[in-house]
Amino acid sequence: MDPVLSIRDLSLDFETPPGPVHALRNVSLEVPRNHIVGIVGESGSGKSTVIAAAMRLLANNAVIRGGEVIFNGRDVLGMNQEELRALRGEEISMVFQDPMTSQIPVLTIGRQMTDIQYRRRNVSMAEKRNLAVEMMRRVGISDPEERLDQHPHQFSGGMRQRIAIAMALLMNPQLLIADEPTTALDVTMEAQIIHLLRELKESFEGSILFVSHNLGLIAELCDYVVVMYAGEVVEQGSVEDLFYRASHPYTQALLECDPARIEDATPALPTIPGDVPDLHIVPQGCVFAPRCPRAVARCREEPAQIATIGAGHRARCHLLGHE
Amino acid sequence: MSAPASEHGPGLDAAAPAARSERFATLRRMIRDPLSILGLTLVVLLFIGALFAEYITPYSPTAIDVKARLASPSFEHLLGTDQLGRDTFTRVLYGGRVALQVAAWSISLALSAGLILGMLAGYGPRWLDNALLLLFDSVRSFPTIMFALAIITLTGPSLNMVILVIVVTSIPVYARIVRTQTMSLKEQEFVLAARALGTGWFRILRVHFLPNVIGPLFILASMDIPVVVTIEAGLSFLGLGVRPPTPSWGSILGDGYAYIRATPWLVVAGGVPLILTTLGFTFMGEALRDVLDPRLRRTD
Amino acid sequence: MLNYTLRRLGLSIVIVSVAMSILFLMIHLVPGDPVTIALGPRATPEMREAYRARMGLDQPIHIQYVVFFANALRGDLGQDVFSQRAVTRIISEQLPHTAALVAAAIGWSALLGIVLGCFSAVHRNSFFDKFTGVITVGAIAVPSFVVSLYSLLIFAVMLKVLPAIGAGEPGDLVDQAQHLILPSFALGLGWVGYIARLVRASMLEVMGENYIRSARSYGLLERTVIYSYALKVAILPTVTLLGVGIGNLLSGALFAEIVFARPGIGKLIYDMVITRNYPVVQGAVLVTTALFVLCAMIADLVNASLDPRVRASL
Repeated sequence: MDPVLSIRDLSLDFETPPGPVHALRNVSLEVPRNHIVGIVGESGSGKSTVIAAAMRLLANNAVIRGGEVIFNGRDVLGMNQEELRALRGEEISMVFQDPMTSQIPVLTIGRQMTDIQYRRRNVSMAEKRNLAVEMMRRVGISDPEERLDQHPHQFSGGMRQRIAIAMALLMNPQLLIADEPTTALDVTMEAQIIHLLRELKESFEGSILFVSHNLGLIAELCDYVVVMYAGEVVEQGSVEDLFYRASHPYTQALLECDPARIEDATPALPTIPGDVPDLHIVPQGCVFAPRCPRAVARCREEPAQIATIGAGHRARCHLLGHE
Repeated sequence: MSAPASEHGPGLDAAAPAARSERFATLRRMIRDPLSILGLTLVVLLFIGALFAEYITPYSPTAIDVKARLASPSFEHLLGTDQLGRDTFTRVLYGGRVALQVAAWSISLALSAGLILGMLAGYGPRWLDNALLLLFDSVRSFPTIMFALAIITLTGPSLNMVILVIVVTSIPVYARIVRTQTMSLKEQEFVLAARALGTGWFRILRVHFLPNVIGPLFILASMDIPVVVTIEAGLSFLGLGVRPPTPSWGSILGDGYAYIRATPWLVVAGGVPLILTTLGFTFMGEALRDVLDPRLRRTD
Repeated sequence: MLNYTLRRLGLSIVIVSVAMSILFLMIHLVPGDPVTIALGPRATPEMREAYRARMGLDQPIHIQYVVFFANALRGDLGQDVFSQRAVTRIISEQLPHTAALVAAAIGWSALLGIVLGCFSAVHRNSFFDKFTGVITVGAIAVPSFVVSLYSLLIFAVMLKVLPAIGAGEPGDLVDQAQHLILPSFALGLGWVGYIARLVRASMLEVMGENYIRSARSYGLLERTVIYSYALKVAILPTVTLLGVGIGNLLSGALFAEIVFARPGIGKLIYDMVITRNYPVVQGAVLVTTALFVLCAMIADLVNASLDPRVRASL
């Protein structure tokens, strides 16, 4: 079966006063139907830019240099505003990082949820409200009838993220994109939201593209994982591939740094030495070479090629040999 | 300021070079902006006209020539004449002088009084602060023009009354800014240190506070010039400002209103310089604000 | 909310009382005898004595002060020096004319200002935006009495298309509306500028908020996102500005009323200043000041009740 979303060779720059920042370079990834794909990476790795490009919710200074974003066989990058609007909400929907600023502060939740259903022309207001109540109940808000008449500030952060998910799922999209949906929440709330997403995936027959810097959450939730570093996909594969057979030195380093995996008591948290490179000038060789403990001369001279390690498991590294 | 630089407190000197180069860049941008150039030109023209009126025009602003009354513009009288045959162009030039005088006097007086009262409120005891704040708010609640009319009913019209009214109604604006700045400086370490060393409060105010509050005040004052010029013209238009035969744009407009069915030129001649002056100072003030203090933006 | 309302009301009352005290003290602070000021130098000693007694000026100052406040609370602001009519009555006759003018002025300027500001923000940096930017600064800079004079000159004297004098025939609404056009245009022009600038700035801020991005991600119509959502949040600071605006226009109306010879509070005060009728001036200034404070207070309260976030925090 066709993947619901497929991104091929996507390259994107941000125009800035000192010159263009090459934020994404030849990014390719796929989201299969009825599965959860996770994108993991540090801040500045380009993971949020990829999903913004998928929904065409990019900043004004973003320029797409090449590649394509195919959703259900249609090219999203070639769509006009009208087609994009038909896509958003109904076919792809998104949950953002900060739940406290995701809803219009001066309108009730109910009003916002009925507004989202404006495309259901043959459905009465009362029916739309019932659908909203139903959706609120599914994301775990108690007394949804009364709470629909409340304003966003009357809900806690965890509640507001549940509401954001409810709003995103209201039109039954085939793909839900979640951009670090739990980063702004405390650990208990985080666990509840992850639990909810997993539950919803079972019941609503769609795919989820989940973006996080937290490997633990990715392992818990996702079927497939995409690892990004400095605007490139460095490794991708099934969750087992990535966690048990991590091939790229960056993925391996990430796994070593995950506090949840530290077994021996240590006074210092392990870190990857060095910084994410400045993407005004893309390095000649492999982007990770300056921080890579296993880099050889070739790594600094020529860009790394994609190597296939197993079915669906690929990594971009010189040390892995070619097909 | 004769005090050594080190007394201005830490941070100021260290930040100076970066701020200066940034200011220089803004200055260059300002020169390229056509509106700020327009503003500057208008203001310079106003000053030249007001300062060198004697050399620009051969007429006296009060010389009456009844034969040539209510004349239309000609080479002899560039903007025509008024109902007493006085040359309107000459009166416009001298009127600019009156406008600038009122602006200079009232703003400098209001600035000084606002500075003192604001520092007292900010630095003094709590009860004084509250009392002064209440007074400021009450004075601010009088619409300026109403306050002016109430005073003038009692005293009769004069230029000094115009200045007094403007000073009284604008003190609260300046004082509030000074108070806020003073409050924020009051708890800073170098001030606490100075107090611990037993420095007198007058010296603390002079050495530590004054240099920090002058900048924002200066910008505010320059943006207030058009307001002040308008109030003077408005009161003079009503016949409650300058006394005849002193020329003022407002009194030219007043004469023009009385003779509006006989000649349009008086109203045109009195209004245009007023509009150009307010526009000039507004454009210049906005550019100046961007150069001197990008943080200070007036919303009203 | 109730607590906030009471605090805000208390503050307003205190401010009006201090303003009243200043007005009361002014008559005693200026050099010269208030009786001479009111009656002029040619008054006979008998007239002076009668006036002094009638106005209570023979009492000690603190008694006068208390009487002044007590009377004001009962709605008694003194009497006209010449006609001896109650000042409150004179004012209440003039107030509706001023109110109509201010309502017309703020009405058209708010409407146009909001549209211009919103449109400028949506089409940021377009030619329209830049053009509106210059025009609004100009509209703010030009004094309203100059606008009054110029519109009188152009439309009433030269083109003769609109009436220039008075408030129109009583009872004839069309005539009255025609008489409102020029003064309300002159009075409102500057406020178009203030409102457009504020709405633009506020709209730009709101359009950058996360909830606008979220709303777009749900595929809502751009119309809904801008006019039902962004504008609803961006309009809130305008409410406060409008309150201040109405208060300001009450006194700003003076020039328009004089230029167009319209009845109203401003014209009344001006006529009374010319005849040095201090009780009427004092009463009218007091009423305008109180209305100004009242408008600012109502604006704050309305603003608080419109914004659910603020309403909750009070």
